[in-house]
Amino acid sequence: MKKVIALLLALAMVFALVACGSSDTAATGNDDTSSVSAPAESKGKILYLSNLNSGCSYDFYVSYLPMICEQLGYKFEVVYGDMFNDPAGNLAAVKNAYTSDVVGLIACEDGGLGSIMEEYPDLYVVGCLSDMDSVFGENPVNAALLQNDHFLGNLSDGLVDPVAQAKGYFDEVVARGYKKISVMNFPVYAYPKQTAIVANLMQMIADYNATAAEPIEVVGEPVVLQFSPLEDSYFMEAANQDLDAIVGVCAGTTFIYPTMLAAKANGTINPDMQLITGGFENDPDLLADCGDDKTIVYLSISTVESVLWPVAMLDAAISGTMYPDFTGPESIDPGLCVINSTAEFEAMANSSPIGLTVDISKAQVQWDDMKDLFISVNPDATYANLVSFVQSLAVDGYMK
Amino acid sequence: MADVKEKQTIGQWLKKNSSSVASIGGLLFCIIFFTIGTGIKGESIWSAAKLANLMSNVIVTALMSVGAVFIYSLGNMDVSIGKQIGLYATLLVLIGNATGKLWLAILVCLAIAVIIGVINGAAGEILHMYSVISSVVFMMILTGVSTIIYAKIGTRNIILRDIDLHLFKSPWFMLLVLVIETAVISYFFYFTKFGKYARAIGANQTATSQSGVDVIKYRVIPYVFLAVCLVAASLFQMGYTGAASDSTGTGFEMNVMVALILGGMPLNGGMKSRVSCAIIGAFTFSLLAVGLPIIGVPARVTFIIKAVIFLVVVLITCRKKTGVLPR
Repeated sequence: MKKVIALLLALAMVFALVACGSSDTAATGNDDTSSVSAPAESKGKILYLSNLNSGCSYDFYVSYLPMICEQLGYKFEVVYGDMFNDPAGNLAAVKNAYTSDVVGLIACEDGGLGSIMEEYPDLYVVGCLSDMDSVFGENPVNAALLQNDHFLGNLSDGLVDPVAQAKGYFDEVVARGYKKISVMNFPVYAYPKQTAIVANLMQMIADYNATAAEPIEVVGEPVVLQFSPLEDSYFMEAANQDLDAIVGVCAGTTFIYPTMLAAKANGTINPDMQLITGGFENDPDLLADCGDDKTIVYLSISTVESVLWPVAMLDAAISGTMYPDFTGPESIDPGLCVINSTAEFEAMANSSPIGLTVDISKAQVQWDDMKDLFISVNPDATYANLVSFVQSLAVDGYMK
Repeated sequence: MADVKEKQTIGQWLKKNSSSVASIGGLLFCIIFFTIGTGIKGESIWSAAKLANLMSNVIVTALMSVGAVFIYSLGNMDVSIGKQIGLYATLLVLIGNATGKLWLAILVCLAIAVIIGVINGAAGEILHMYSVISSVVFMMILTGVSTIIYAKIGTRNIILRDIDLHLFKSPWFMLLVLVIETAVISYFFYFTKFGKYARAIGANQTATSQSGVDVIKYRVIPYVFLAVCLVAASLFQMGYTGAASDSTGTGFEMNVMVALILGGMPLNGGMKSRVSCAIIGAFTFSLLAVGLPIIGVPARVTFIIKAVIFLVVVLITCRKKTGVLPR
């Protein structure tokens, strides 16, 4: 019996291989977006080193980016980076996917970036929705990339400046009148910017308390989540049961919200406790619990259409017509979606391309809107306009 | 009559050697398939760049797997392999940066590896528990140690400075080290009592013990062999990028297991264990990783294909209804 099963599985695999091997000419829509055909005069292939392999944002990127690449005449292929950003894992992923027609790399992870560029010195590389601490951080092990003319910069995940990011959280806490909160983030060695945001947030609260009639109490030290959901035991402590809100300077929808929800269902905590955090998921149940009087009241995410920036940078470099006002690689702010009202949450759910259904036709920037930003299409395009356009993208774009 | 007898002989031979036939056949199939497939796509898996890539894919898994053959022949498995690689890679960078002496870092790693190996090997027998349990304990301890180290450093990635690592990126040097390690391990495995007793323990520990073999001693020594191989593998793992991170080595124990199974290693150990399983499995595993993207298989689908191949090989090669899993 097991030999029959083995034979059937082997046959299934052979058919799958045959089908996959011919997918280059078949997959142009959104059903299989890992590989998209390009016009006959293809300019080469762009690899996308993804840090994700599922979720609405991932589904959007692997549909939206191929669309842009196809319009520009590039093939596009997704490569899965090491899920923990390990240098050797990322290098191996790129090396395995590298074929002679690869001309550019969009890197969502920075582990091993120096080795990748050393291995492929002709490859143009641009960062995408990453903090890229190894290049732009305080102890940059890949700082030499800033002197490499094939490294084109980075689109930051969230605002580059931790003070600006902290201000967003602080303003929300004050605006909603919270008086007792707790703060959570990921470990400093993995996400140093989050720790900087938390430090700035704490300072802002301390400054506010110095003159406020009713101070804001931050319960305990900031909780460092070790890449696992908040422990149920957190809400067993009396001091944490009557919080007004938790500020999760991390992917709180994944790592904090489920525990909060369970604690609310158990009657352990204040039923009105709310969550201010980052990350977006298109789970209908979660979205139904987002809004002014719901559990999640504030989400801050990079506007997904911002990813046109790395493609524009690669296209300019590969075409040999870099923007005349581009002075060197930098980490730039993306467009920022600050979603903190019921109307905005509804717009994200129903009108955004990462809402209840992932649909790139709902993107606030379509090809016709963006094409003049690409210098290979519009010789008068400037880097300043490109950056300004990307940074103007916000939740308002889904509310028109 | 003679024909019938001959057919029966071939059939019996195939049945007896089904795992070898499946594993070597699988490797040959991959070689032929990717030679043709990549040629159709206008690429070549035999180009210098792709061969170098293949070698860098193979080396770490092969070095670990060759060492692990001894452990699997006992009918045991070690799930702390990945975390050990991570720790040794980290120590190589930290000590290398602090002293500028890679050999010193290697010695420290060897000392730690041997201590872990001795405890791993002896604990199961002395404490009367499955050996895998002690390796689980080490996996958890080393995870904690790694977290503390990187939290203390304040960064996820560390890079070795001022030490030339080009040698560890050379495919020829990788091949040389792999050949030497395989030859040494093969010698001990096939031509000394260390290998003979290890396989005997895997086949029937009670009978081996009653034959006067010191089971604890011959259970510990394989772990010492593995320890040395792990340090060698961690050198190449770190040397590949000159860096280590808090996640270096994550999941490598599964790579070893998959490579050995693809190579036809009997998971319950015993006399049919072979060093060649590690080499065949590591090359098959790496050929898939290198070849599938070239023929246009999307990265997402490669995981499924690898899983199907793994399942097919397990279905073909597993022979016992019980006691298949290592302990």
